[in-house]
Amino acid sequence: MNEAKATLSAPEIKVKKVKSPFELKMQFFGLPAALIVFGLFYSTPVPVGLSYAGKMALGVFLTALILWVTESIPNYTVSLLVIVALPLLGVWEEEKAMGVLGYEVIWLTFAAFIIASGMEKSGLAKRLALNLITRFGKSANSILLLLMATNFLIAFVVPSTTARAAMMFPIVLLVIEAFGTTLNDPKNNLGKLLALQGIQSNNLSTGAIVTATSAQIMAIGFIKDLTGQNISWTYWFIASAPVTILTLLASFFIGKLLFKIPASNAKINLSLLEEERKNLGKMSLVEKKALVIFGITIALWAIDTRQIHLFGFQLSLVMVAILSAALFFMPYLGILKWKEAKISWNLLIFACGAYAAGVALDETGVAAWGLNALFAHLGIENMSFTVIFAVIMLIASFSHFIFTSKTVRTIILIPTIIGIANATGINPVALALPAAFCISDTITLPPHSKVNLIYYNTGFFNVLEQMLYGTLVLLAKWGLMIIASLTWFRFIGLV
Amino acid sequence: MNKIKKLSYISCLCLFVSLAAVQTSYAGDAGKVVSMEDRITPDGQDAIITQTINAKTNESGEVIFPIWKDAAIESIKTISGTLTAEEVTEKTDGDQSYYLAVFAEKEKEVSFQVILRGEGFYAGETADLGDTYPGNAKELSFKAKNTTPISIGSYQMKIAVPKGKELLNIVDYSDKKPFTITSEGEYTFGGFDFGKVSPGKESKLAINVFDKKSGSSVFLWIIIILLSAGFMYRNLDLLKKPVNE
Repeated sequence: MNEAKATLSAPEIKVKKVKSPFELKMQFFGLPAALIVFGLFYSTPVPVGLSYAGKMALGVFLTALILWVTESIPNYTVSLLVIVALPLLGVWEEEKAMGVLGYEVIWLTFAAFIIASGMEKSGLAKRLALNLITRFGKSANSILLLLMATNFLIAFVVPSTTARAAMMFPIVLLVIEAFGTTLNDPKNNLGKLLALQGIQSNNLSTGAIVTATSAQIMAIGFIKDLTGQNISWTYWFIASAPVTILTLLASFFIGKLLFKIPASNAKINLSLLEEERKNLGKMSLVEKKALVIFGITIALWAIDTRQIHLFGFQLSLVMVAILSAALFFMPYLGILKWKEAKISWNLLIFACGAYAAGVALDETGVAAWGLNALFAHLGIENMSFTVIFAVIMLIASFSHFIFTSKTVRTIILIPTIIGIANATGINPVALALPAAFCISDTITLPPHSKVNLIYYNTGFFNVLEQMLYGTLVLLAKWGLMIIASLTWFRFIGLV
Repeated sequence: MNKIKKLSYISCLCLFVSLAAVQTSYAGDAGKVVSMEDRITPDGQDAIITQTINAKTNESGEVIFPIWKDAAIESIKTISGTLTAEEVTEKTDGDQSYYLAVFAEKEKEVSFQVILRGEGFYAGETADLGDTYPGNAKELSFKAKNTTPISIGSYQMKIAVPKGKELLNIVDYSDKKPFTITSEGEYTFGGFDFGKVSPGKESKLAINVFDKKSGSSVFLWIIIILLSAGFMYRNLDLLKKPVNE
């Protein structure tokens, strides 16, 4: 009960998160606090301007939020209770609450699990990473840059941050060993950099590719449902990739400044990695099949709205993912059996409840009501777009300090930001989409994501080092986002 | 024979065109309703509809306004302008029926208030909330069809929630549409701004109200206390020391 555990795909990597005394206290008081909040909402009169459905939508949302944050009871259990509570309290009709399971965002997440399982089974990403490093890794700098590039590239292929970390972690360990770096070395800055940049390049690269994590898929789902505007895979990439690449470069240089690599550390012995690459042998049939299936998937995602002109049909982002999943399961053509697909049903159910609670807030008018009241108080409507943009990006980027779950952050931030935009007369996508680019900025503390925990296990860095490095890089990203809002985002018509 | 057919066809066409012209001509000459608001409040099981109309009279001082199928006029009073008769008359043109009020002011802006009674409106109907829903929910809905041959400039409707009940929701509510939830005096109102209403168009507003059972809050708090106490008792170890596995 008091221990959260994440077992990764690679059998040798197990992450056990031991809760701090504060987190244990949160867990202890979480359920009573959530129930008291629910009781207060149930018992108090409906505020002026709101219906009973709206009041209880807010009550259900806040109750669930307390339980998700404190982890008093499992998050999927909370989501199931949310699905029951919404129609029972008259917030949302039963049909609508249950219908969330059929939303395209849920299907896309489901398909992403299957694609990730297929890519993981094939070993294609590992081959790609080893090939890049053994061919182009000549020095510490080139290795660091290559690992960043590899993390960026496999984000196209593997739609899960944890799965990518599980693939890259053993390679990073081999690289550390190749440099002859040990934990006993007091100047093990190369080890620090390899581990910390492993975290940063994994999380930051995620922001460039919408399908690289399910929370981003959920974010575009919210944008579509709440604004009616469809964000394509290509549009997300075009908008976000330049900022991501510049942030990765900032991460590289900030890391080099913070953790200087001694000359003695800069020599590399790639024989271990070369041996590992050779052990993989020639590309297997399974890898070739995975490559073809994923090639088709990426091509269809990238061609996007031009499919209709090229082929005479149009497949949406989600339909491409479902087709890809089907191909992975296809007898003879595919490489997966149903039992091999690691579908995280608990995450899907969690997402359903979270999505239902978030959409119910909007549909009952609570979001607009609350934001109008807030803005009337703060006078935010008088602020310029740049100031509002800067404040929102700062909140979006650093909100992971408060809400460690990417999904929870998406549920809270994206509908709220859309509400802010509507209330201030700004195009909601101009604020919500850039904020969605910051959902994966979980690079400051080890418990903020499983990726962080995996690399924290190396013992090459401490919490303070990660926080300092992560905060500086996020501030750099924040600056780049503001610059992009005045340049690149304007050029592509986003703002 | 063909000539007779042609003549009959032309005669019929002329008749239709002339009838339409008469209708259009009347519609064009009738006094225009600039804005209209219906405020529905309870009187026992009945509804009192306070209708406020701002209009511009025609050259005869006339204003026409629609007849609501489910409500009958009880009284009329002017806010600005002078009515030449204390009562309005019901007029019928073909399948269209409407009220006619005559003012002393010709081609001037007038405003007046009509009080109507809708019998049994607040008895309501069982709310359609699917298969899982809170008990004691009722739907109160009112339909207003523009029975006049001219458009109403803008039309708003508000339905009050009876005392002792809660506004569960407004049916088909969307914060992107001009729904309103307001508190005026002793009532909470669910409303909608229909904007311009064309001749023959029906405007419908429905709200769901419900009666929270007295004592349900007490019961809920007992459950909350028991559950919280039970949970904390079972998890006291969380406060003692972190457990490593």
